[in-house]
Amino acid sequence: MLVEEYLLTHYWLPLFLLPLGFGMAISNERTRRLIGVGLLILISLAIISYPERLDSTNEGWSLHLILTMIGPITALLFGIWFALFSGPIPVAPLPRGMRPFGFALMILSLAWLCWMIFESRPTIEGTSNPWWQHLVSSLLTSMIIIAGFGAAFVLVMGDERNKESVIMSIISIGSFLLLIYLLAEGSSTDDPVFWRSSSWGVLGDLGGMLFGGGLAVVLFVTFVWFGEKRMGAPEEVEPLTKDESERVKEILKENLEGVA
Amino acid sequence: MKREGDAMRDWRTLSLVVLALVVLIFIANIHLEVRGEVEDVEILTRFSHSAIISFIIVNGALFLITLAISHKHAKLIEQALGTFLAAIAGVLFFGLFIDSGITVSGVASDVWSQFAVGTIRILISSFAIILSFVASFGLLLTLVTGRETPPDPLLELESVSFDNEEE
Repeated sequence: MLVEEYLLTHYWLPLFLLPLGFGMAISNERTRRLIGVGLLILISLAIISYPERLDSTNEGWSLHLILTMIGPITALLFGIWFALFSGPIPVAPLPRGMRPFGFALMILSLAWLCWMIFESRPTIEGTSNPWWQHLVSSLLTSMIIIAGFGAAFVLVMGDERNKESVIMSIISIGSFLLLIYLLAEGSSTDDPVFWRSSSWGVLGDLGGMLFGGGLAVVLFVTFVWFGEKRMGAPEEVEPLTKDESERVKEILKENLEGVA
Repeated sequence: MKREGDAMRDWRTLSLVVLALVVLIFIANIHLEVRGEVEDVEILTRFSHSAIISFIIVNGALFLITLAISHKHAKLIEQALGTFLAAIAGVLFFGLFIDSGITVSGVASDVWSQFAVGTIRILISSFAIILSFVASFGLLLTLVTGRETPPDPLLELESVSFDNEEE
C-alpha cells in the first residue's frame, strides 16, 4: 500500500525528524541550537497545516484526539503552576491567594476529563474518535501505577509524608475504580465489551513498549560501553622540560610577588 | 537513622508495590473477562508488535539524537552505527513477522499499515503515560512543597552585627 503524500509531509516526516530537532535544540553550540529550534518550529507548522479532514485517516484521528485534550491539559498545567508557585517556596512565588485557584483548576481538569469519558466522547460530525478508548485505558492504567508508586515513594523515602501519601493513594485507587467501572458498566456512548477489549489491548501494548523500549536502552548502554572500552586509558603526560619549568617559575614569581 | 542496605530495601518495597498494582490490573481484567463478551484482541500479537515497534522507535530516536549532538571531539561511532543497525534490524524483523502472517486484525495486512497503526497506538500510549506522569508528580510536588515550616531564625539576624534584635 502506498502512503499518501500529504501523510508523509504533514505527519510521518515531522514525527521522524522530531528527535533530530530536539537533539539539536539542546546542543551546546549556538548555531546548532538555533537550527534545532527552527526545525522544531517547521515540524509544528507542518503538523498544524495538515491539509485533509481529520476524520479521513487514522493519523488525522490521532491529531484530533490531541486537539480534544488541549482543554483539560491546559487547565491541569496552569493549575499545577499556580498551586506550586504560590506555595511557601522561595523560588519566584506568586501571591498566596492563587493556591486555591490552582487546586480548583486541577479539579476542573479532572471533571472535564470525566465528563468527556462518560458523556461526551470526542466526535467529528457524529463519528466517534476510534483512538479515544485506547487513550483513556492507557491513561487510567498508567495513572494507577504512577500514582501508586508516588504514594509508596513519599511514604518510604519522605519524612512524615502521610497526608501526601494518602492523597496519591486516593488518586491511584480512584483511577482503578474508574477503570473497573468502565470495564463492568461502560459509558453512555460505549458498551463495556469495547472497554474490556480496549483495556486488554492496552495491557499488551504497554507491556510491549516496556520490553522493546527497555531492550533498546540496554543495547544503547552496551554500545556506549563498547565505545568507552575501545578508547582505552589516556596516555601518560611527559614531565615538564627544563625550559617549561623555568617558564612556570617565572609566571609564579610574577604573580606571587608582594603577596607573601 | 538510615543504615547501609536500607536504600536497597526501600527500592525493593517500591518495586513490589508496582508489581502488586500491575497484578491487580491484570486480575481486574481477567475477572471481568470471565463475565463474558470480550472481543479477541490478540494480546500476544499486540505485545510483540508493540515491542518491535518500540525497539525501532527508541533506536531510531537515539540515532538521530546522537547525530544531533555529535561534534568533532566526540567519538560516537559505536553508538551511532549501533543504534542505526539495530533500528534497521528491527524493521527487517518486523517485515518478516508480518510476512509470516502474525498480523493484528482490523487493519490491512501489509507491512506499512500494520506498522503505522502500531506506531500510532504507541504514540497515544506514550502521550497517556507522559500525561499521567505530569499529573501525578506535578500534584505530588505541589503537596510536598506546600508544607509550612517554622521561619529560619538566621533570617532575623542583622547582616552587620549578627545579633538578634530581641536580644
